[in-house]
Amino acid sequence: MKWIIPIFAAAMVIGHLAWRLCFPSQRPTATPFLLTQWEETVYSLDADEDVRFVPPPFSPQRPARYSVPPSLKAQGLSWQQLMVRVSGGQILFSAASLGKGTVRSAFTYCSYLYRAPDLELPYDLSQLPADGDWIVREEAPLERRMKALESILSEITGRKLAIDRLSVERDVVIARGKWEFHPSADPKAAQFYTPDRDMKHGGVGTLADSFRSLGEQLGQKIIDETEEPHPREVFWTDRGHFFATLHDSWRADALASLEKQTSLKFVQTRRVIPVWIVSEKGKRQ
Amino acid sequence: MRFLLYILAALLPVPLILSALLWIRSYRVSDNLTLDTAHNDAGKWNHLQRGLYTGPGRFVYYKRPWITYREAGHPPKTGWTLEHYAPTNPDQVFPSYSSGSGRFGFWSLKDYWVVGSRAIVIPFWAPTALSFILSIPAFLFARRSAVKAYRKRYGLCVACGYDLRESNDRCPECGWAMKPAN
Repeated sequence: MKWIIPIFAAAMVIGHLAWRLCFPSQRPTATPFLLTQWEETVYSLDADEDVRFVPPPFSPQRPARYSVPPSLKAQGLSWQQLMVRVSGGQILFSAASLGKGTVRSAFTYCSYLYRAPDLELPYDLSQLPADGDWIVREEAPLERRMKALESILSEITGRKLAIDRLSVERDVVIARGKWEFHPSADPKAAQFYTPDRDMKHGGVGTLADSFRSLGEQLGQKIIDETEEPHPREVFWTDRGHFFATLHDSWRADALASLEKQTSLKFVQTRRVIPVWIVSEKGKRQ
Repeated sequence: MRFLLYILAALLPVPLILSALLWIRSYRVSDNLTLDTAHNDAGKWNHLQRGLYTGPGRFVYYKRPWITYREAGHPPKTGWTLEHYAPTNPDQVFPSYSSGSGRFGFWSLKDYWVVGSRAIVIPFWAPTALSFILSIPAFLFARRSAVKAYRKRYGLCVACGYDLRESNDRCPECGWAMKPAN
């Protein structure tokens, strides 16, 4: 008889817990999208992460998230590499490539730098395979992204890479004078600035922005020493990246042509400038 | 020894009760319990998520692997996660469900996510029936113990239930030898 009350109490407690388990007071209404959750687990960054690399095999849902244009699909092509930006907690698929990933493409995706004057990446290192998708935190400073990239690329390639920002003496072009644009009518003349915006093959921005793009095409930094007033907006083209392939003497001719069109003076000299330099510390044992 | 048997008898029905309760719950809530693990293999993080998803009348045990490379010193988060959803059938939640195969409510999925991912769908009746079968010995043992205890308490023969209040050493009905009282 003395056991009846404890047994009854235990039965009541167990019954109550069982009831709560089977009939919760608040029924969830959210629909499970496990597939989306899994994709976001992979294509997102933890709070302490700035860069992540996801190698194959990829999920079958990956092509659906970033579809291939019908013209490419008809040729049997698919995206080999995706670049995903994480900004403000949101995942933004921002670029894709049909080619296999390399160390060079990793820099393009993660630092937006891909050639001199800002980045000096030896050719043999630049061609090392790094095939997979890159996820980058948009807000992370370039220094942090480069540090993460150094660590991740070293693991992927098996080579101990070092990415350092160094001040080194390099050939530069100093832009001087006052901007006055006179487009050339000569089709053979080297042209960079255009009177109209070319949505497909060019850029628009301040004069300083245009110098950054021109510097990438020349492979030399343009130092802005131009006089005020600066134009509010200039248009330029990057069609064919023709400057980058120019011989030194032809480059001088091209700059002379630009001088005529812009009334600026482009002086070639050497200066100490900050550059991201990629090197290999040593072979991994 | 007897004490351990009592504990075993008490524990054996637990899976039956739990299975039955979760079966009922599966029609009201879909639970997703996951365990994330990751190990580093020369800089490459091999992730593995094991999960248990419950849908109406069924549950899914699944595992999915994936690989990431991360900056040194930034290991991935691992551990348990429990999420609750409106009751949703596994065939709506798991991709490529129709490509799986099975019978009697069982279903197996291969490479449903990335290569190497596996899932098995199990109807709740299966673990409930199995745990019921396993708990039968516990019920029998409990019944036998209760009868024995009752007979001992009221001076009856433990073997046949004959009244032994007038007997000293042996049951006159079945011959069961009584232990001498010290």
